Amino acid sequence: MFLSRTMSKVAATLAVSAAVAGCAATHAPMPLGEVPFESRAETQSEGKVTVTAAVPTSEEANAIYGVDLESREIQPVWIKVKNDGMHPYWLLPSGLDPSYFSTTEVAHAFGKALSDETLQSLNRHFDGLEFKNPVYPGKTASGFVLVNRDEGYKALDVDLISKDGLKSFTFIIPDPSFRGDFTLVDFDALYADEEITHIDDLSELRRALERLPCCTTNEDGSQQGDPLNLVLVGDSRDIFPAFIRRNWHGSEVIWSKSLLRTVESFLQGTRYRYSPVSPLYVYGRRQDIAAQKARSTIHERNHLRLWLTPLRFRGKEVWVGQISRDIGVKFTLKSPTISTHVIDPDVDEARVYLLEDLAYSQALAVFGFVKGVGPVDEHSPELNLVGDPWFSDGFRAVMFFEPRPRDLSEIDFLEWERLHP
Amino acid sequence: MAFLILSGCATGSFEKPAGFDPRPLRERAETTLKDDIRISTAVPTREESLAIFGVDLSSKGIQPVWLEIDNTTDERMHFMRTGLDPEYFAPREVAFAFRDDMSEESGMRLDQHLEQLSIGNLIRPAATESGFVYTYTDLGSKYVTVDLVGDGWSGHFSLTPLVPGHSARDEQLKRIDDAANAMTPRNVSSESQLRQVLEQMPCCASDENGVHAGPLNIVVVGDPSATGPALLRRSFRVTRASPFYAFGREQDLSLKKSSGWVAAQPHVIRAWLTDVRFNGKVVWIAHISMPLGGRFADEEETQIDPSVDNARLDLVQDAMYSQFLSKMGFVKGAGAVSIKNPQGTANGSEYYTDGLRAVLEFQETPLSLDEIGFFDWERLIDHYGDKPTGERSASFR
Repeated sequence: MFLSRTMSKVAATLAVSAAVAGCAATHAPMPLGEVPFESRAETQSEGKVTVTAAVPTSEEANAIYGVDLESREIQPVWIKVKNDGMHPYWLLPSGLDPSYFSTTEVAHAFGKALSDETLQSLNRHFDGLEFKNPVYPGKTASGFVLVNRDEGYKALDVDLISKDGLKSFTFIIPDPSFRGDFTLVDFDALYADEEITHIDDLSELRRALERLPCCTTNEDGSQQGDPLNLVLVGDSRDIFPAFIRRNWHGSEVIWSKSLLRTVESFLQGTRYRYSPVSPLYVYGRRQDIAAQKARSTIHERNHLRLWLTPLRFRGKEVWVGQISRDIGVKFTLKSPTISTHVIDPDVDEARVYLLEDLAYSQALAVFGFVKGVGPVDEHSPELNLVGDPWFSDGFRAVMFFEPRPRDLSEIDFLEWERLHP
Repeated sequence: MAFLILSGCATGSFEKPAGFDPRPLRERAETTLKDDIRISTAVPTREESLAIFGVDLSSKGIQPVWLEIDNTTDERMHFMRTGLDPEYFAPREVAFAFRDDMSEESGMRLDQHLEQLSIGNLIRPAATESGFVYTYTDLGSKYVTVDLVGDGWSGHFSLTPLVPGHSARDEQLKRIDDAANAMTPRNVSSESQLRQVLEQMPCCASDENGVHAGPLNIVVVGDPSATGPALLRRSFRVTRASPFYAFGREQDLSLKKSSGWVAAQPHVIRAWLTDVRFNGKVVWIAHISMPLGGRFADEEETQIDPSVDNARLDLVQDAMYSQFLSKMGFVKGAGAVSIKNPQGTANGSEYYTDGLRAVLEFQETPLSLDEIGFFDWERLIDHYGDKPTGERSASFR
């Protein structure tokens, strides 16, 4: 009781200072050309259409918009489209984020409490920054789309439609100011060329996947934790945007600020999106990528951790991973975050959940199952590193990703292991 | 503290209820048969639910949905629980919500009980599978979407089982039935005829006094079995919205997106069933708008965001990403209103628009984004033309 009262007092103080800061900042947005975010832009072309995308850091966004967008969990994404084709193209912002914001909505968020004049000037300023459709033949258009904020990296689906059809581009753009799992790993440096195993044959891949490590471990490898029940095969440009489209988000490593926020959300049951995922180990290293999909409260979320393997299948990356469904929270002294999630002991359930979830992403092409940790009976479960029981049929789900779009009826089964008799 | 521990102990047991008899549910279930697969679904009453599960699921906001999938094909298929409810609960997750008060043995009995009652994911050839999916509680009607994914094949079913506690169909379904019964359908069979008919539809909705309330800027073509699942997949749910009037009656259906972990776009759709059938498919006309200030507005905000075309095009995009939009296009509607000379409404809102209606035709089988067709009608581009940026509405942004 005392704690929650203190918390709401802190929250109230924060809200007031945010409002004041927002007010002060509305007067002096920086001219776009003076904010250096464009130097990190990435460019791709398909046929006669060229797309450039960049994501300003929160400081840069603050300078451009003149308001603290981050305080409302809003992030601008900058898109430039050069159309050398014959038909006008239209950008679909819903592809970037199905819950993206309109400029009037955001102007309202920062200007409503202030004068009518300020609201109008915010509206004009934001409108001037917005990406405007259509992109006429022979022209270039650029501007921002306001989306829900991600930390660490932004996976962007840029879908452009015209009478001629669809052009899809995918970007993964890191945030240089973020300290998250994704940005910590230099994927190119993980394996030397001679450590990579190249596989072309499907049955050879199956055998190699069966030989992957069974489980996560603790740091020195002396104890085994959760089973590695996932394999993802594909280009990371096809895999990770599929997760983003289904509302999975990258997660912070454990460091002080985020730990504080986790404790707050534990106490309040609020929806802090980026609570840290504690480290587990495979190949002697902590997860390369952690992601989570939160639901109504912090107590209900799905966690997954992925490691890049030294396998390449027909040139594509092979990732191995672990997924579990959190069904509640308990206190523990075995985790640095003090609280830890209680996982659903039926870890196969989370595995199937992920498979279904990604089937709707339009990027899953083929799936199947291979032998993994081996069967663990419900009545004599194993324990993970924080003492939670788990059991499993012992298989790993294997998912192959292709450039989208691909609808539900185009997903193929791989005739490997069968789940039920 | 002592009190807490005591009360914890006092409720600390779970005994598995007597064997579950699905017959009452099966008898009143809604059933559909397609592609040699029969799907039946029913929602238990609160009393039935207590008797079946032995715990009060409704106290945790959980609504169990009973399903029976009778597969007479020789195909193995996967039932997609995420398609039925993207935020469904796993059986042990449901149990966990009750386990605080229980002994370990009771908790394990509850785990197993809820697991046994849940439906599996794999539907075997020539087999019948049945059981419950633990979903979030919906107000009123339950829209049950069953997606089955086979090897290079998928099947899609949608049902609206009766939800006990509502006398017959819920209020909105009844309203739709009444509207349907009161009209004589007229069929149109060519696209040019459809365009003509849609352009002749009333321009606008009004308030109860006949004062202008907003443009009818959306047309939806398709049977409920196609449009329902498409909108459901993009998180639209039946809601209550203040009454607007067209065709001399209040809207037949109101929809709004439900928020998950990030707040959803706050658009409100008010829809009326029309007497038009396009090659037998039902045609709806609707008004879509966003409250002024959107997700940052005060809850009691009744004014609408002036750029109603943005709201319209947000829905167009949702339809495009739903995998069930077959064709889209634009027809003339309420007429253009410039940003410099906005149209006022009954509640003091103002809006501007290019004056068009978006027409969305849905089908029952999935299509990817690059397979969507276009009606060769009004070209959006002609309505943007040479207007200076400031005056151009930012549709499709």
